[in-house]
Amino acid sequence: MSPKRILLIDDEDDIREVASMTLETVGGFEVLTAVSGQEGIERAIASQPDAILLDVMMPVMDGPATLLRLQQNPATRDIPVVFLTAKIQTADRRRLAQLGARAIMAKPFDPYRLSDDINEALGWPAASTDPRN
Amino acid sequence: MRKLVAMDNRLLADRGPRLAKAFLLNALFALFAAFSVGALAFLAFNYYQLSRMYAHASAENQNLERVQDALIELDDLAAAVNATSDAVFESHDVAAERKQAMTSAAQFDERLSALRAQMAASPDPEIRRMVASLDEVATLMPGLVSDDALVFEAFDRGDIQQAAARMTVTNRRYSVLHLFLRKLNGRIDKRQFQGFAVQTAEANAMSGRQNALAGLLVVVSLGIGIYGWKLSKLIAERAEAERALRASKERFQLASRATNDVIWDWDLATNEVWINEAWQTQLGYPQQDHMNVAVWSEGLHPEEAERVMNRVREAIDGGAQSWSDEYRFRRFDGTYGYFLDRCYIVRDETGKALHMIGAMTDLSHRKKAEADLRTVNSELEQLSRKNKLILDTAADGIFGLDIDGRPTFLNPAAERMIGWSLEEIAGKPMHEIVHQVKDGEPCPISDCRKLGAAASDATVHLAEDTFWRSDGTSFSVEYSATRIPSDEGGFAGSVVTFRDTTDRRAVQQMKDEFVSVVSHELRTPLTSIRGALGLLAGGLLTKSPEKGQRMLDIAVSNTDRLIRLINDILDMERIDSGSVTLHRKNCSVADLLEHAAEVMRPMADKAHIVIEVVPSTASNVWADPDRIIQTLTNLLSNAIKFSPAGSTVTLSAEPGSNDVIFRVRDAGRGIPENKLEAVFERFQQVDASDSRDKGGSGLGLAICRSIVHQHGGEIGVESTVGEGSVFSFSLSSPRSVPASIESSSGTKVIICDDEPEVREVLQAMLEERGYRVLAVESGEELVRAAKRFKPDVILLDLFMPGMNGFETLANLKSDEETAGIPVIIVSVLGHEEADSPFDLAGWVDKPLDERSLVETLEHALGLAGRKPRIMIVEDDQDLARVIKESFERHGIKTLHAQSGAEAIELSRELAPDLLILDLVLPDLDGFGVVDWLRDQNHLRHVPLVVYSAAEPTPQEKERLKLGPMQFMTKSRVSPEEFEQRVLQLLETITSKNGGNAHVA
Repeated sequence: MSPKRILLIDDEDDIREVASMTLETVGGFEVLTAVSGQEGIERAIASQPDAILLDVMMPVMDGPATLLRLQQNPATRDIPVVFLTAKIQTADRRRLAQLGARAIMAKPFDPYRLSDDINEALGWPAASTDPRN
Repeated sequence: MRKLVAMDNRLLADRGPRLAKAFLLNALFALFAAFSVGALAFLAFNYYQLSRMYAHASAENQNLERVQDALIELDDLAAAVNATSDAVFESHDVAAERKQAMTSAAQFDERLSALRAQMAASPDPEIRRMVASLDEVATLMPGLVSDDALVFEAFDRGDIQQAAARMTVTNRRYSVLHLFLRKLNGRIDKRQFQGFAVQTAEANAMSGRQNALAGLLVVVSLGIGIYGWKLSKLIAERAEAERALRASKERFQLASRATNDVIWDWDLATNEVWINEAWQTQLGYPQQDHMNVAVWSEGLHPEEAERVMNRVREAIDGGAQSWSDEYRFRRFDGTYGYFLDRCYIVRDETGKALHMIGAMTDLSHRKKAEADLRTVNSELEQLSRKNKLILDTAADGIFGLDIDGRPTFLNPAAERMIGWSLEEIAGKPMHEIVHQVKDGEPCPISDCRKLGAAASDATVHLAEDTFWRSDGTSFSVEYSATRIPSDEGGFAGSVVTFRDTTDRRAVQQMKDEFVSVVSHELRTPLTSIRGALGLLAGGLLTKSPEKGQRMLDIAVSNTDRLIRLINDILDMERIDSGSVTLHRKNCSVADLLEHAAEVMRPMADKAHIVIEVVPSTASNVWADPDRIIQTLTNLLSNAIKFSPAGSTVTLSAEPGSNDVIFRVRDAGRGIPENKLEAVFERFQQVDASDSRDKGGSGLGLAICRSIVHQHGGEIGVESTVGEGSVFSFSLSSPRSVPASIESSSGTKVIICDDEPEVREVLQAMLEERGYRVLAVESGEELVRAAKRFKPDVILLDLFMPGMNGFETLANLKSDEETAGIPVIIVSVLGHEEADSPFDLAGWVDKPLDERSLVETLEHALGLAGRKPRIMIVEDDQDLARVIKESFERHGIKTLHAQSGAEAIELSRELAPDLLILDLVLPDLDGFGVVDWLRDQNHLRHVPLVVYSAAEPTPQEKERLKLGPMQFMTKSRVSPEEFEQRVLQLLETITSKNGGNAHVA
């Protein structure tokens, strides 16, 4: 079975780098990245990833706006979206929860749990082996 | 006998007012008890309320988000309309595209009007103002539709070229519409972020205020509770006292009829007195029927006998019908009792007194009861005064209502908050004064459970509402109403306490937003750190060292970012809360500019940017140089970040009217006009991605603003988009620094010399060094000024007209207030030539040598008139304690610093006379401390004892050069020897008391 493909949209270079290494090495995913909502939408249309990991606080087009565009576009509306955000206060969470993402995951994340959490949230089978072993 | 009864009634009558007062106190107690219950409930509900407000704030935020979402949707619909004219070129299906355009346009209108209604109904006036812009958007849509139609027509005609041309027009119009919507979106963003800067400061202030309010409420409630309890105790005591009095009264009545009173009949002709059995039963005298009146008069208390007898005689001679008196009378057992004696004087036709017939009543019990009652009453009055004081000083508004809802009292806080006094609204229902409108609707009194008739429902524990002021404005309140039970079991009225919650709501919201943003700013670098380190820790990257190294680099750079952010936040808070003391000096503007440029040059070189420092015509500013350099480097760093490579950043300073204006000019992209103010707010960047690209914390300019404000200056920016920005701030020049030396801290010097030139030169020399100087021209003036200004040191000329120097000195030394002030003689007379009978702190020869003057002055300030002070810089706590104790035995004061930074901090406050220095220290090492000391005018000659684990090398010794020195190695020198050598060193310095004999 070919690995699941995840599109990571985040404007922070370092976070993008750390998160993609995490998803690749720990989760065994194939990772695509985008630095902005606009670029993310274009890549999503073009590459049809299995899931999108989306930052919330981004300049110009923020996470919720990006999500809305993705949901409106027939080419992307079926791709499950998971928010990965540092805005994790109760009020922020409540607001995000209403937007239709599959899950909300908090920053900072534990690199050895992030992939499991994604698998669980999206109903994907857990990675067969722990790559650490 | 009838007369006796009448007297009795009179006695009873004077108890009436006392009973009335007791009743009043009863009512007051009930009132305060009720208030105490209300106040406690109020406090409890307060915290419930906080959580509700939080929910409310998030709802408002959501509203704004919804508006933004709607704007995005509108944009999409407009895009859809526009897209049809594009699509037709591919699909060639004009009918379908036209239909699509019409549908989208209709949806657009529908959404637009829905949004318009939503925004128009917004409680936020700023959002309502945006409706006008929305209306402009509405006017653009028909144009877009008709442009589309023209494209379709042309297409229908087969005129593809015309259609394409038309399509461009359509696209352009859409862009205008799109821009409008984006701008609106931006305004809403701005609205969300607005007011962010004031937040912390106000949040802190408010939180303090809020806590103080809560504290006050608790104190008030407690106080009232305690007094209520005391009051009830006192009332019980009073009831007891009253009962005792009544019993005593009854006895008296019985006795007057029977035998408890001593009934007597005095025959004035014979002075023989008949007495009844009570003489024996009540007073204990041997039973007898008759006695001489002398027996009675001898029983009177010696202090009162004369008075009583005089009054008896007056009554008899003055033709009175009766006589009565109260007096102390001795019982047979020798004790005295209080007696009331009342009698009827029997006269013959001529008015000559024949008999006096009366009764002696023992008042001892009644007297005691009365005394008790007096005590109780005075305590009650005191209590009532205290309760009034509590009402008067309560921060919450408190008013009382009678059974018809009319005000019975208002405390000062209530009067202030609603703007009415009791006199102005007496007799009117309170509801109509403060509660006539609720939620924008008239609120009929019949609907008002709390302020209407008190006979309605039960106590309202706490409610949120709106009250109205006398000037027609309203404010939100929390209030509770408690009914006052009446004696009959019904209700006598109610007491309402309320508090203005307007500020608290606003502050809570700001606080929430601030916490949310800071949390996000902290989590972002932590995410990279946690992720990178987590991966490394898991061991997954061991096979790929370059990936591992990359993760480490990311963790390090994000740690730096986090540290920067935290430092900036702390710095900001410290400045804003005023806990940073400015170390102001007279600083050279040119030095400040050069220093700041020097610090930033490496960064500029890296970015290929030139920093140009314009030579300044301004000479000095009165400022803390470290803080000003921080401000300048912050501004320079921003300028460098936003400037294109190869450009120049200009740093300049020009003198203003009584200040100096610093400017940092860059040739960067500039700041749009609507962001000019916002850039000084926290976490505000022109573009939200700036902090990430440019590595700032988002606090730099906010810190600059705080520093400049603390200096009393102003900071601002002018900018042209595309051309660059000029940041400028003003600092006061030294001339406007405290004209009087009374204000602000610092070393105060008084110069006394009759020569104006000498005064001027001295003053300039000293002010240049940051001393605060007062110059006077005569000894007389000096004596007065010294008492008033309490200078730290005096510079005194010897040859002056009037009081000469030595006379002035004698005058100063003879006055206790000024005797301790060190005096330095400044004279053409050499030290050796004159002999002063007084202790002098130093002697400076004229003509003046600046160096010798300053050294003498610094020495005098350091050592004169106090015990020497040793600073121990040692991170080993135990060792430090041993050293400290050994010197404190000699009466020498010690200061202890555990680190180099602490040593510097401490020496800033208290200059040490000798330093014991360990070289290896946690932060700044011993060399760093010495470097710093050498830069301080008054510390560069401080004697130094280096007490380190290893012997310093000769090069190291050279680096440690300060004042007189001793090097001792910890393991080689015994504690005794160490102590001796330090004491010797200290003695050589303190014995050289003369200024120009200063050890250099």
